[in-house]
Amino acid sequence: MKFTFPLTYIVVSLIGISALSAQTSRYYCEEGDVHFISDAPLEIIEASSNTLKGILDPSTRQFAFAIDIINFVGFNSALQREHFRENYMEISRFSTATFEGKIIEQIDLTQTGTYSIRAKGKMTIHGQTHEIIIPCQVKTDGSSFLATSSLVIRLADYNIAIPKVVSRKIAEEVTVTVQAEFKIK
Amino acid sequence: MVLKEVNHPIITTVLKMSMLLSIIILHQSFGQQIKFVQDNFYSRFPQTTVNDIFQDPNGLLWLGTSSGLYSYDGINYHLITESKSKQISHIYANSENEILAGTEDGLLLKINNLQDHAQLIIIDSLVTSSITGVITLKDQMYVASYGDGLWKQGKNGWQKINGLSEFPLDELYAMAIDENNLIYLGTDDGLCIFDYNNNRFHWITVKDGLLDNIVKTLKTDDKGNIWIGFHQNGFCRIKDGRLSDEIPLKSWIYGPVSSINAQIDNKVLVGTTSGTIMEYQPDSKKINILQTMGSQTSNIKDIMVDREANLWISDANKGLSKSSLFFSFLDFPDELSSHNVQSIFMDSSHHLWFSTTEALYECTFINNKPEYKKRLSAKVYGSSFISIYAENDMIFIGTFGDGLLCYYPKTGTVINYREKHGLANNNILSIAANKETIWFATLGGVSEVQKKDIQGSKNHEFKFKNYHEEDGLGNEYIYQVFVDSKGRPWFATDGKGLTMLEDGKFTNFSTKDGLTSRVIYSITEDENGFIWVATPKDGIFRYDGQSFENYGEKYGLLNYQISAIHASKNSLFIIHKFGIDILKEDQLRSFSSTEGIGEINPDLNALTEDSEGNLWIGYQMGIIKINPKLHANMHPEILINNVLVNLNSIENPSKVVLSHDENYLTFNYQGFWYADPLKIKYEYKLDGLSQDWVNTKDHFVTFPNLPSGKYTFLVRASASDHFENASVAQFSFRIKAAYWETPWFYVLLIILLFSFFSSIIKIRERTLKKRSLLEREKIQFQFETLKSQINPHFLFNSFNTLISIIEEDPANATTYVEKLSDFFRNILQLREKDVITLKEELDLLQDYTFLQEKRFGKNIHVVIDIPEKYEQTQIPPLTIQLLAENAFKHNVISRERPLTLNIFIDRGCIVVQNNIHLKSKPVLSTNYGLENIIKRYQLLTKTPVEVLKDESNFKILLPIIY
Repeated sequence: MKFTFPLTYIVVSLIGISALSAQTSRYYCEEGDVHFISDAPLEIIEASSNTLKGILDPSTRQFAFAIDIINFVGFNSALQREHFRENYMEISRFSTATFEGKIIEQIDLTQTGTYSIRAKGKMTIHGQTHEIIIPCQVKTDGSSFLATSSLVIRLADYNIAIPKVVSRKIAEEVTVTVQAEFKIK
Repeated sequence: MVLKEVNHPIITTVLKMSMLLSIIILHQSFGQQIKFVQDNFYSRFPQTTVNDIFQDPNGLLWLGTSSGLYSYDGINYHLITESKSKQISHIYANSENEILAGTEDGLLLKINNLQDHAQLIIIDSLVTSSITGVITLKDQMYVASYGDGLWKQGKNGWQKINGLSEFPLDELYAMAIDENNLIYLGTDDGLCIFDYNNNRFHWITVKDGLLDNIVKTLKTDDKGNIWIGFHQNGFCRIKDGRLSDEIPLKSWIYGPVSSINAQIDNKVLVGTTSGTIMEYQPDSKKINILQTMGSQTSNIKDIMVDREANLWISDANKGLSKSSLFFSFLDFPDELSSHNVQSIFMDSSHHLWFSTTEALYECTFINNKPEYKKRLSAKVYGSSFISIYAENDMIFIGTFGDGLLCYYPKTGTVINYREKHGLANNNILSIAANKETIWFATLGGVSEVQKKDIQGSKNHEFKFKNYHEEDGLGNEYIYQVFVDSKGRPWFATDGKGLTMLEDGKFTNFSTKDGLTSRVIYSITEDENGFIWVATPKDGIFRYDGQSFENYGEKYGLLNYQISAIHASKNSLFIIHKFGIDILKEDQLRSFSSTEGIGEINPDLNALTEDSEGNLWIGYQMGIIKINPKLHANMHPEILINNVLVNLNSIENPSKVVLSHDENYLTFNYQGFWYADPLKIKYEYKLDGLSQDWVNTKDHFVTFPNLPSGKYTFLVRASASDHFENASVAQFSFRIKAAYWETPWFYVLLIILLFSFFSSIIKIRERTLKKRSLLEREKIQFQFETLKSQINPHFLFNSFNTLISIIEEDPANATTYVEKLSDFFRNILQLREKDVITLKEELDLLQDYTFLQEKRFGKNIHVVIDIPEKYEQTQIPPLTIQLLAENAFKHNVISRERPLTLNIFIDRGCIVVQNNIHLKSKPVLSTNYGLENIIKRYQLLTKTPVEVLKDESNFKILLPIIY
């Protein structure tokens, strides 16, 4: 896997020194699932990837995620995938999407249970960064967490321009669902 | 199926069709939508988001945008920040009316005047995070940032507030301050209340009942509430330091609250990032959705209500828009959208009954959402419904040509009354009632029904009592019946003015009472009991119990095409074909197309009032609701923003005294009328110069070369052509008189002139006196001279001399005679003059000496030693000659004792000197000669003549006269 090393590096660098210096246990996600759907009047575009990398420090409640855009699969056609990669996401310039921040709610993730939390952080897609708050469900058994979330990305916010010709084929807003399981390495 | 009339009375036992209709709920609309007018900011500056809309205390709007800070007068956007790179996140005005603008990168800009060239001062670079709040308190300033917490500027500069806080204070979404000077901070961990006096923090979180910990926005209102907007679950308030237990909406689906405005009419306006704008009334706990959009298209950044009750909305995706809060438009379902509303009536249970050309509808409001039910189809009854009145579960519907329909919604029963059932006429234009009686205004007189008869009537038999012209009714063609507060019906007739019925007697009002229009369309009564009427051509009239007065021209109505007039809550509403006038506290404000009230073209008297005083107007596209309780500016505000003296602006405009040459004044002023900025007009006058108002559209006026005096510059703005009630801005100043214009200068000048002339007169008098004295002296001298020259001695001596010369030297005798005659001629010539030249005098002396030498021979020596340069100096005539004569006369002249006469210049004087050898027997002398010389010199020069006499010499010093 060509991108594994840099991606892990990105994830670690995103979460920052505080997380690294904390000697408490850190949790890692190696194969998180990301799925997006663009539900436009004329066409539905779907793709997914199971290569989401993530890191979570329950003591500081800080987290970071990164994904390589090139790993998304499942488009309707090769041409569509090509458009996605080159025209819209411009992966030659912006190869990864990242999300890093902190869980707002003060919860103890080491306690078994299911929590509704909100993750506030900086989402970087297509080179554009916005601070957003995402509602998540976290299920924990004390040793691992399963985080699931659904969020809406407005393409215009991330400077992804849709030509008017295809505006009825691509939705202005894309729904993204994420499922990530964190474990101690 | 179509049942129109059976035998009297017609009881239609439920038309199945209308039953069916009544249960069909047409549409579940979302509320009363307000109409937004897009501002052109977004098209002028695409990709620019307005983060903050702010109205400063002067009335000027400021826009904090992602491309800088703009001021906005309704027409022009003026970029204040020198470049567009500054992203403005927050705007604040301090107590000195200075604008403080915080940027996304932690700068605080201060704009310290309102002039065009606003100066930009960067106070300090605090943080690198976005500034989300600014508060100034006495000499302290607090700045909240998103990312770097709370900062305070005190005496020692900026310092971060790091007190002992339970939760981190870094990411502050918002800041507000209450009347106890407690600072409220919105964070991710709840609401933090900071008491800066004690440096204490108090947190309110979900555990304390807060709806959400993420507090996105805070707003203080003037009733002591702090309104709190959350990321989830809506908004709530803190009152008197306590969390209010009211929860406006239990399930919140509108997204994060991004802006709260809590100032207008006891209502709180809330905007969300999903594009919803709602209105919340804390008193009634009612929520009214004004606008709702999908998050795809809308993201409210800020909402603001200006002083004209315009609601301004900044939408990140759609830009800036505004709307008048006076009006909302009932959201009509598509089925109804193109139907003209012909009549409308709000019943006592807040059900709105209205008719279109198609049908009668009932509109009920559940959580302020209108729900429409079609009740009766007009087609079924073959005519249109043109008037409605509802009472006690009975709906009275006046039709055009088909009489009266009485509709019982509970049972669906419809009863039709027509002329043959006793009704005056089948066209019923208006229905009104007092406690006992219902009146029907028709095109053929008036019908009345007693309510007790309706209640008591079995089989729904109505007994109509009709009034016609012969009963005293002015005219049988009646547009409206109106019942006043005393229960008296008034009838608006077509042709005979206004008719009132009291105790069975009609009173007609027409031209003789001042009601110049014979056609009346609409009648209303205000809170003071005055009756107002609207006419088709002559505007509106007011009846004060005595006479009618035309009020249309006084206020300048929008136009004269009036369809209805209605008084409610201290306001008078005049409904026109092309807009609406509201007359409130003697001030008229017109609303037309810019407020979304364009060609509404409403039917005559198609309006009704609800129990809260709101007015509902049916028009050709639906129903407009007007809120008469709003407190808003009725006319433009005006501000003199700059005064230039000799092209320089005045530093301190509070009290201005100008010098005489500071008389070139320019006034820049600005009126604000955001409702319709292009309508604004100005009038100005300069009290002290002119008493006339000058009309202009300019924003400035210049007065060059003002004379000294006291002046007051007054300027007023209006959105119509009427200025009577316009607000006035004024500026008083005084131009001081120049010193040559002041009274004391005149007094001084007169004194100076007087003393000048009097001294001239004095000098002249003195000169004249001197001259006359000189003249007298001269005459006397001449006389004395002549007397002396022609005294017999001189002549006798001269003749003796001549005889001896003739004998001794006959040749010389001729010369002698010639000299003698020369001498006498010269005396005669020169004596007339005041002064002669020294040379002339010396010539005369030489002639005289020649004559004397012949007598005394070589025993007299006359030595003249006068340098040539003195020859032209002045001397009184015969002075030296006289002195020589005296010398010859008084001294012994012999060979042993010759007489020497020296004439020379010494120390600025002509000196005449002779040696003394007085005759033993003194010669008789008047002594007049010397005295006369001294006197004449006194008149000519200040230097006195000196007479020096010792034993051997007699010396006279004559001052030289140049």
